Amino acid sequence: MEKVYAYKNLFNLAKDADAFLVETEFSSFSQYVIKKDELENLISKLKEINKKVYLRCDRILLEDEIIKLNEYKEIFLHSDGIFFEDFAFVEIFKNHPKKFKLVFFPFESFNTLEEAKILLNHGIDIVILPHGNENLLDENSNCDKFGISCIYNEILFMSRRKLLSLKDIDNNETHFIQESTRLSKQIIKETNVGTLIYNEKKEIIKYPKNIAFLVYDTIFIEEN
Amino acid sequence: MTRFELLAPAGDLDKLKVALLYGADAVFIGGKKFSLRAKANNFTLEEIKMGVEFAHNLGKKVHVTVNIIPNEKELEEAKKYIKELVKIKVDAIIVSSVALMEYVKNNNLPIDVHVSTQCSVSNSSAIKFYKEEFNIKRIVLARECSIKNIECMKKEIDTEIEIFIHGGLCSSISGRCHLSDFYTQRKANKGCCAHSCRWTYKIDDDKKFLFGCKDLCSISFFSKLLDLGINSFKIEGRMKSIHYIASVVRAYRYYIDAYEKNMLNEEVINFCNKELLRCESRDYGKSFFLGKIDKSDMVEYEKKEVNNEFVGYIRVIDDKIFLIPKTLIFKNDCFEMIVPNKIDSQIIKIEKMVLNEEEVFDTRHVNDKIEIFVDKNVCDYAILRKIK
Repeated sequence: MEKVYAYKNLFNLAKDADAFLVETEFSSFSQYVIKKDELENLISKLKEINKKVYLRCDRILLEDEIIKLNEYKEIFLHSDGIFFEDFAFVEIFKNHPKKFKLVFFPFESFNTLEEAKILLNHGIDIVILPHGNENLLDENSNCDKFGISCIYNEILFMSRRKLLSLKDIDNNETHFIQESTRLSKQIIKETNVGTLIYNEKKEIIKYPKNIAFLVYDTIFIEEN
Repeated sequence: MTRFELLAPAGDLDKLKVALLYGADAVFIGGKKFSLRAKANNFTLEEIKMGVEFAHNLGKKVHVTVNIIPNEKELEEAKKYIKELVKIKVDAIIVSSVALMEYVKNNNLPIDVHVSTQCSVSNSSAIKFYKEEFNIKRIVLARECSIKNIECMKKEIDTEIEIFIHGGLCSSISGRCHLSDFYTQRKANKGCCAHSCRWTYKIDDDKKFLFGCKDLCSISFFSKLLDLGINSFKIEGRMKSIHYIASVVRAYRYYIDAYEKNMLNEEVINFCNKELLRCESRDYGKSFFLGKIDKSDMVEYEKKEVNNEFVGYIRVIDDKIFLIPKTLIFKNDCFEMIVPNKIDSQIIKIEKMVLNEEEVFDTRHVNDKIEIFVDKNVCDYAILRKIK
């Protein structure tokens, strides 16, 4: 099992990490984006300390972003793989080297193991199960092509619209929204791509121990 | 049929007929299960069969949405359901599950597969993936695509493209919203969206925060979309009224026909604009088509005054004329009547109303079937609305 931690900086690396998931220009909602010229350097540095490097490219891409992606292709191939949601990545990297993994990292594209297995027959190397679907696998399952996120923020809403800016609200701050008849509050954050609404940290304790990838997706979680 | 498909929503059999009679080339409908509008009336298999026969007799098509994200049990049921749809000669299914795409491909089922907008396909590489891996016929593009993006995409692919041109929008990326599930346990990806993005929120404890979107209306730039050679133009709204469907379809039909005959002019565009403003909808915006979203695309008010122009529609059965009222109507009331295949409307007077063999002087209940006598010739599915 590979333990994959969200990468934030070189001075705060989780000791038990086997690999790091590094934000890119193509992350769903970039928080700690590593620019193109720094990316190659970072990949080398993490490899020097025997850590694998996966690149977070989980945004649904528009056509102009595909053109930009082609500029990154060579650098990306220096990493150990890509965590993606848009099937464009399968098409673009379809003749990738065997050691480079295409890891499907969806929001909620499926709720069945059958669909996950189908994807493995269509150019995808590893499938991370969508949140809430961890119970699709049990100890008896053949898990060597599957992963789960064990720590993450529950994403409730993802938009390309910059909702805070559109309402003249300071988009550098983290804000809380509350439905007018309910008590609970959710975090709303605007990035350079759009807006996210999400809940506090969620942890999954029960999962098959023979799983291929265990993802600590702490990208929005402040660490002590 | 023209080279462009005008694709309309239909929540039941009457709406299907209205959509096709008023100028749609095809309709998309949902069955009782597996579609993303669980609250619409939706169609039994028998009704779908009737709808397909009605459409095919007019040389038109029926697409059926099977686009929930299924669980294990639903997946097996959905496969059986698709087999039934093939038997009754449905033209296409709209799906988001790769298992259903694979099922149709592996079994060589004679039905076209369209990838749902729920899959958020918004680039040519993803389109190539679906085409090569699952042999799909058409992609319903994500609603985040701009005209410029679609133009670039079209140069790279030969797959059919369908886009939404009119109707309600999610504020989120389609399929990437769990607000409804979180607040109400109604799962959007199972067809039960509570439209939580249109609710009223507070931000930072005090300020009111609305983040719903205005409805899409693309009339003001529709010729640019037609120029791109997109295959199908889709109107959203399976839950909308017969009046909405008739009015929106006839406006876009009129526009497409004028474009194809090279007769598009200000008069046509003004007519379409006026017609679309008379439909029940939120305020209109342009979504992402022109590039970035601006403030004018977001709703500003919690509620908009309800448009109550629609008063009823006509059924002609065995040479008798029936009114299906949608509001209180009195004897001698006059209304504007619109009919299929005609742009000009007429004023019609209701001279007599009969219910259960007794003359009545007003309508008692919405959706009663009241025999009427009028001062003009009418046709089946003529729409009555208030005179403006």
